Amino acid sequence: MPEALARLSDVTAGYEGHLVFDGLDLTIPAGQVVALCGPNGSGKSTALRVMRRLITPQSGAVEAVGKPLGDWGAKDLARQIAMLSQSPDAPDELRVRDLVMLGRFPHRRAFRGPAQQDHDAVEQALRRTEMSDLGERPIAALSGGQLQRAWIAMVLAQEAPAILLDEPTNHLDLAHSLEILELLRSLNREEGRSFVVVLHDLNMAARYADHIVMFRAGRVAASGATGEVMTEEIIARVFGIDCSLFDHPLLGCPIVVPLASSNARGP
Amino acid sequence: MSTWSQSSRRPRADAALLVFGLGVVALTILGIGLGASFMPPDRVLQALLGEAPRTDEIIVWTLRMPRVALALLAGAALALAGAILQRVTRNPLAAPSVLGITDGAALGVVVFLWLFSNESNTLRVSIHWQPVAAILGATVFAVLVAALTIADPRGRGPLSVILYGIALAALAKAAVTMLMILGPVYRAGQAMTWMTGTVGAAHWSDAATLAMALAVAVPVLWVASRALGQMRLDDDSAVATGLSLVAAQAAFLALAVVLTAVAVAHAGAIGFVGLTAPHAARLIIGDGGRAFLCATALAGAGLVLGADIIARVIAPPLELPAGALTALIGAPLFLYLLVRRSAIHA
Repeated sequence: MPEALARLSDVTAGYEGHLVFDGLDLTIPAGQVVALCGPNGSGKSTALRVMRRLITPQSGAVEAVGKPLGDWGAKDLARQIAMLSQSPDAPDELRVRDLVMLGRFPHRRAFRGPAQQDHDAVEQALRRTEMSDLGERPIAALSGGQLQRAWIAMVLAQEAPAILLDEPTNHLDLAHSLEILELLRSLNREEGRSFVVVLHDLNMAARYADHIVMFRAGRVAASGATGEVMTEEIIARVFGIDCSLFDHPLLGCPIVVPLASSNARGP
Repeated sequence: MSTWSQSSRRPRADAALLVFGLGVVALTILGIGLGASFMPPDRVLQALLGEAPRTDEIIVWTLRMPRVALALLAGAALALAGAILQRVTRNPLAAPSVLGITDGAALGVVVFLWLFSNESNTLRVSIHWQPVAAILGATVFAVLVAALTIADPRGRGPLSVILYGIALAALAKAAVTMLMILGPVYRAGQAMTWMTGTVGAAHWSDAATLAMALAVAVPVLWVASRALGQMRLDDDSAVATGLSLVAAQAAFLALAVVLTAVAVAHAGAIGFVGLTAPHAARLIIGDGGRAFLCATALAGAGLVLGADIIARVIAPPLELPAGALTALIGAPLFLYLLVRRSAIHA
């Protein structure tokens, strides 16, 4: 596997009427858990969408898994990079197991029913996300946390070496958030899968990410190993808050305690 | 462990398909039996199997069968078009008649008749161009609705495609009415066909053209059904799992346009079949896969034939257009879906 999962060079991208970033340079290392952090609207999700070719940049070059992004076929790219977007959607009556099977789309052979390896991948993904017992449920009958895990199961069933997740812990309580991030890290350590995760919670990022990219206003404010990027100065600059940083006595990872918004202080 | 869940669902789908199929067969026998003199089912069956007297065979095969066959085929084509459109737009309210495609096809035919008829109401070109004219009209309206939806400055809400469709359908219907009234008097006799849709004037050639269109479209749909199933996902997830979304959407839209247009070219602007049939199939068999598409086609075939049967017996000797009855069933369903939808989003 190449050293870089994705490389954006001088990329300008955005949506109708407004640019999210103008001339962005960004390299995402392969084989790691990478967290994308930053304030709302700073470009994290857009960077993820550019990497997965969900939006086409107006200019600039994007490389993914060692090839220009445009050279990949739709299914070939899907076998390399899976992605869970921020608000995925499917019909209410779809059953969990059928939803997860949709993740097998790039692997399935034409004109045939699911092969044994498709069924195996689906069952493994359900087991990993602790959804095996809920396989026959329509997705409308799931709780928020179960629904999120069903979508994560679909993405895992795609069996791509790299997985992009846009705020995967969004609808989850603390316990389920931890479980999902533990799952990502164990898949990374055991199977060498790469993860790029948009995370809002800096403490979760500090604990689970090997590499953090900090976005601010459409630019990369900092990018590097977690220990290098998690400093009081960088967090203050990126989020506009004062904070204190401690090392956790047992885990050894940094803990962020926000103190006050720098904007909120008097002149 | 991995397959039991699927096999446990399949018998139910098979049973439902069997019921749909038997219903269509029963309606077919009834539809052939009805006419100037009622023919009981056993005589219909004998005639169909070639064991009846010559007169019965002529009545069945020459006089009554074309109408029944056209109703079945037009219903199946419109229903499949509806199922495709509901997937492509990810919208349960979508259907050929709702999106202006049905009336666009009818307008194409009426313009064709207007341009290429001489003073004695005879076509100056082959009648075989009529489906082509329908396809052109349907394509123009489908492309207009798609373009307006994509260009919508307020974003592509789930209702915007429906609203643009309804507006353009009204426009096409108005244009058809104008051409009927402003055209020569003899044209008024065709008004029922092009405004409401009827299978009353069916010939074998109508059924044959439609059968040919279905013979091309159904295998394509069969092969591409997995891509259609993948469109249950939102756009981002569909692309991220490897679907070439824009190409698939364009191809399926084209397929729906052709199915609708060929049905309309021969049976007129029958509305709401493409809306009702997929919902009936979904209710009984669940969404997804080829069983759902089969059930949809059978439901559409049964719906149009059933509507035509009721249209013939409800006020004899008057014959209502079958399209009036499908709209009578379909429009309340559309309202129900609209109300339930806004309740969910409220």
